[in-house]
Amino acid sequence: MPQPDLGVVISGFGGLDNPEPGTPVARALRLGWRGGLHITALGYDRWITGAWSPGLVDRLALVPPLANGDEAVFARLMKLHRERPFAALLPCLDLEIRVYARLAQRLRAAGIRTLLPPAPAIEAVTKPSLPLFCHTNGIATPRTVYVANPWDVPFFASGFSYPLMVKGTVAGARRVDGPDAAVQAAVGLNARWGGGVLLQEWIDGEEFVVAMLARENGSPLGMVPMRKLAVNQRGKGVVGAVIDDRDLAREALTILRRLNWAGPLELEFVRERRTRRLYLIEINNRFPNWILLSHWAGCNLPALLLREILEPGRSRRRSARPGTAFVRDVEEIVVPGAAVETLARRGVSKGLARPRARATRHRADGIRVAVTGLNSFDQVMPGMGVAAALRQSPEVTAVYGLGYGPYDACLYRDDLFDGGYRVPPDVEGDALVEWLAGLRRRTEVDAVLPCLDFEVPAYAAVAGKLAAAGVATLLPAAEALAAVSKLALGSARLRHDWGAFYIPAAHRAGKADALRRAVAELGFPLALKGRGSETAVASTPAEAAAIWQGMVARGERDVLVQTFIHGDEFSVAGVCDRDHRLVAATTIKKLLVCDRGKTWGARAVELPALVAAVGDFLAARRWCGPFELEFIRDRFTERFALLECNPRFPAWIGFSTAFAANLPRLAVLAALGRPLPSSRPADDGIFTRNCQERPVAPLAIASFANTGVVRHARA
Amino acid sequence: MSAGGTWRLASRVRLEADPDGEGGVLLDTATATVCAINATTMTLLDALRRGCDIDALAAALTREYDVPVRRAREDARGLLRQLRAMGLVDAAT
Repeated sequence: MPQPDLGVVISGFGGLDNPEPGTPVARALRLGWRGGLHITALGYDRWITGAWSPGLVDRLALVPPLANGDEAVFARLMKLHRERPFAALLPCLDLEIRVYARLAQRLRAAGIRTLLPPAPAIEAVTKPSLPLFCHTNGIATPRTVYVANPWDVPFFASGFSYPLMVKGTVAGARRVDGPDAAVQAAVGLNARWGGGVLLQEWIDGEEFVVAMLARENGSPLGMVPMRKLAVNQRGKGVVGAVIDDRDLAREALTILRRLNWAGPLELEFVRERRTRRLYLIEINNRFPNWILLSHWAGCNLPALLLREILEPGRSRRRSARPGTAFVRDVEEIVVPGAAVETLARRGVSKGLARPRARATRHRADGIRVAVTGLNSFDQVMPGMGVAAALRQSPEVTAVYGLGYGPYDACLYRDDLFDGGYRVPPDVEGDALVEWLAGLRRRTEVDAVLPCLDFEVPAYAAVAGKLAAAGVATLLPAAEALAAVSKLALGSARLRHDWGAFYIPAAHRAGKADALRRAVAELGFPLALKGRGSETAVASTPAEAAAIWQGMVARGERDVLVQTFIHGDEFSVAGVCDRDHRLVAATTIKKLLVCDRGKTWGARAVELPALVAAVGDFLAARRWCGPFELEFIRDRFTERFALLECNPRFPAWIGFSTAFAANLPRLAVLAALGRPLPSSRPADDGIFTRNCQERPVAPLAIASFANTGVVRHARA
Repeated sequence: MSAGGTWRLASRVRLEADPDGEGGVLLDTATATVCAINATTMTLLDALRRGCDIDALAAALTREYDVPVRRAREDARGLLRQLRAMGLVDAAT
C-alpha cells in the first residue's frame, strides 16, 4: 500500500512585492525533497497569494491571529492535524517563531515536529536586544539606539549623522537623510509594528547575507552566503550570488556558536567600503525570502531542515556552490474566485493544481514583435504581461525583449522571449528609427509595442519613419497624447461629464497662493499630483503645504490639486484602432495594491456602460493604440471618477488574456492592418501575482551588459 | 613582485567567451564580481586557464596580433600583475 505523502505545514505566503519566506521555502521543498509531500500553507487572510501558485501547496488554511493567544493557535493546528495529519511545522514569519517555540513540546506530543531555537536565543536576536548581544560577544555592529516614542526621534537622531537607518522593532527599515524624514519613517514603522523604533548608524559598504541552518545542538548544518548584486527600493536583494568569502563564513559561524541556535537563521552584514570591516546589521529568526537560491547552489536548506526535523543528526553539513545566482521575477496567476471565497468563508481551501500546458500553435512565418517595459526585479512593468499574451497568439512567431539594463529581469525569461536587446540610453528621433531598423535587420521584427510612459511620445513621433522601415506601431498622435495628460484632464475647458464617469476638477498650483485657493475651494482630503506618477494625499493645510513644497523642490512646476475620492479602484484597459474606435477592453476591480500602488490582485468585471463611455471619450480625443484608464468609484456618490490615462498597456495586461480579449494580440494585428478576432465574455477569476526567484547565470547578466544581447534557444 | 614561473587561473575564476568573438566575461565566484573583458585579454586568460609563464603569454599575443614581442611581454606582465593583486591566479605547481 503506497505511503501517504509526508504532511508539512508552512507559514508565510503573503507579502505581495515584499515576499514572505514561506513561498520560496515551499518551492525549495518541491524541488529538493525526495518523496511525496502534502504541503499546507498557513495564513491569516485569503490574500496569501504565494499559496495560490499552481502546484505549490495542497491545502490552504487560515489560522487565528497570534494576538488571540497560544491556545487558539494550538487548537487550530490540532484541528488541521486531525483533518489531514502532518509531521512537521515550518513557521516562516518572525513573530511566529517564539509562539511555535513555546508550543513545540505539545506539538511534538501530537506527532508534529519542529526545529526551533530556545526562548533566550530568540530574545537575543530581536532588534532591540541585538546591540547587547553584539557587545557581550565582541561582534561589530553599527551604533544603535532604541527609541520608544517615535516623536522623540529628532532628539535621539541628533546624536547621529545622516544618512541614518530607522528600523521597526520587528521588520522594516528606511534610510533617511534628515530629521523630518526620520520622524516620518519612525511614525510609519511604529504604526505598523509597534514598540517604538531603532535608529542605527548607516555604514557605507556592500551588503552580504548568510542563510544558515543549525541542528538542535547548535552546530551548523548548512550555510549559504550571498552577495547582493542589486537591491530594490526597500534595500532588499533582488539579484544575488553565492560567494566564497572566508572572513564572512568565519564571522557567521562564530555568531552561530555564540547564539546557541536551532533551526533556520539569516544574518545580515555590511562590509565597510573604507576599512573592509564586517558589521552585523541584523539577525532574522527564520529563512530569508531568497532561500530558493540554496537549492540551485546544491545546498537546499529547507529540504535539509525537513530532513533534520524528521531524522535528527543523520544529515551531513553542506556547502553552497559559489557563483550560483538568482534574480527576482514575478509570477502572474489566475485563481478561481470560488476558491478564494471558500478560503475566506470556511478557513480551508484546496491548493491549485498545476495546469496542463496548452500549447499554442504558432505559424513559422508569423509576426515578430519587440516589447519594452520588462520587469526590473519585482517592480512590475507591462512588458511581461504583453509578452505572455503574445506567446498565446497563434499569429506571433517570435517575441523580443527590449531592455535598458542587465537587471531587467524579464530578459532572462526564455519562456517569454526569443532574445533580448539593449535599447541605447536616451535614444529618440532618427537615432531611434535607425536602431529599430537595425533590430529589424537582425531579427526581422515586424512591430514594436512600447510599454513605458516616456517611450510612447518618442515612438509616436517617429511612427511614420518606423513604418517606412518596416516596423509597425499602433500609437496615438501627439495631440491625442496631450489631450489625456494630467494637466489636460483637469482643465476646466474640457468636458468633464461623460455619463458613466466624470473627471474631477483639478487646480493647478504653480505658486503657494494657488495652493491656498485650491485648499479653500476643495477642502480635505486632497490629492496632490505631479506630472509623473507621484501622488500624495493631504488631510490638513500643513500637510498639503509640506507635500507641495516637496514636489516643487523636486522640479514640479504645476502641482495638480484635486479632491481625494474614497472608493474602490477600477481600471479599463483596451485598444483603439487607427479609426479611433474601441476594438476591445477589459475592466478590472483592484482587490490588492502594493505599497508602491501597483495592482497585485484584481477581478474582471463587466461594466458595459463605463466601457462605452470610455470609447466615446477616447474617440473624442482621436486615440489610437493601447491605453489604461484608472477610476475610483466614489463611495458616496457611486459614480466613477477618472483619475488617470496611461498611454500604454497596464502591468496587469496578461490577465486580459485569461478573461476576455488578448489585448496585446489585438494591438499587434491592428498595427499591421490584419483582421481582428472577436472577443469573448469575461470569465470569473482573480488575478494575482507572486514574487518568484529564478536562477540566472551571472555570465548572462554580464554578457548583456557587455554586448547588449541575450539569446535564448527556444524549441 | 616577480612574475617568473608558471601561473594558472584560480579555480574560482570562470570565463565565458562572447559568441561573436568580441571578448567575453570573467566571473570571480568568490565575490560574485563580473568583469567584461576584451578579445586581447580573453586570449591571455585562455592561455592562463591551461597554465603558462610570461613567455607563453607573450607568444599567445604575438600569434594573434601584430605586436612586438617586447610590447607583448609588457602587456602580459601587466595583466598578470593585476590578476595576482585580485587573487585570480595561482602559481602552478
